[in-house]
Amino acid sequence: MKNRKNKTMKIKEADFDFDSAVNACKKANDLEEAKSYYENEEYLDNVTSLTEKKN
Amino acid sequence: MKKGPKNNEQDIYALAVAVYGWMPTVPKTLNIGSITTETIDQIAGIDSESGMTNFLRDLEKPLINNSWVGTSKLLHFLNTEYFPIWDSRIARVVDNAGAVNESDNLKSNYMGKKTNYLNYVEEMLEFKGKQIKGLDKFRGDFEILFGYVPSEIRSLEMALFFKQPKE
Repeated sequence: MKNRKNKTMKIKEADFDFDSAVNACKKANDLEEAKSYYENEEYLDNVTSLTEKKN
Repeated sequence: MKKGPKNNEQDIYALAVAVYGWMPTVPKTLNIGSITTETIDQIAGIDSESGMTNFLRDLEKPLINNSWVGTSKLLHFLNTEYFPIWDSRIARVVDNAGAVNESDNLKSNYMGKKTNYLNYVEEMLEFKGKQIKGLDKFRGDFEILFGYVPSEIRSLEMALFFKQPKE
């Protein structure tokens, strides 16, 4: 495990961003916020645009 | 997946659909012929770091949709204590060479290499069992929000995943 040839990756403890993770979890847990996201005009525009492209 | 009674073929298909139902990627094939019920039981029963890395080293091809990302999710659902999820958002954080931020071809090439997935898994295991600042608090907060404690490896993976904003 320690003698890998590929050294392009090295995870550092500072890479773990628990504050951002917990904030994302709080958002995901907030149903009202989720509902507002799916009713958001920008989201609906994106969905419409994708649907039109497919058709 | 079931613990105790053996899983059957339908259970494996259900898991494959669940894995891809969770992703924006549409699977090109749900051919999961190489996954046997014995393989599933073997994955679920892994209980050591060496057992896990040996399993991955022996794995010649992805288990699902010719994708290491899909495979990592399938493995994670089967054994959340040992297998972290791997995707391009994680790769952007851990890839020091920056290939994932380059062209779609470079990104696809990087994500398609088992070596990169294996390196990531091995590095994540180096943090397993260690005192990581913020980890315990995150797991406690998560339990309050969702009613269960995520595994250590899942918590670490989420903390990497959310480090960068979505494109």
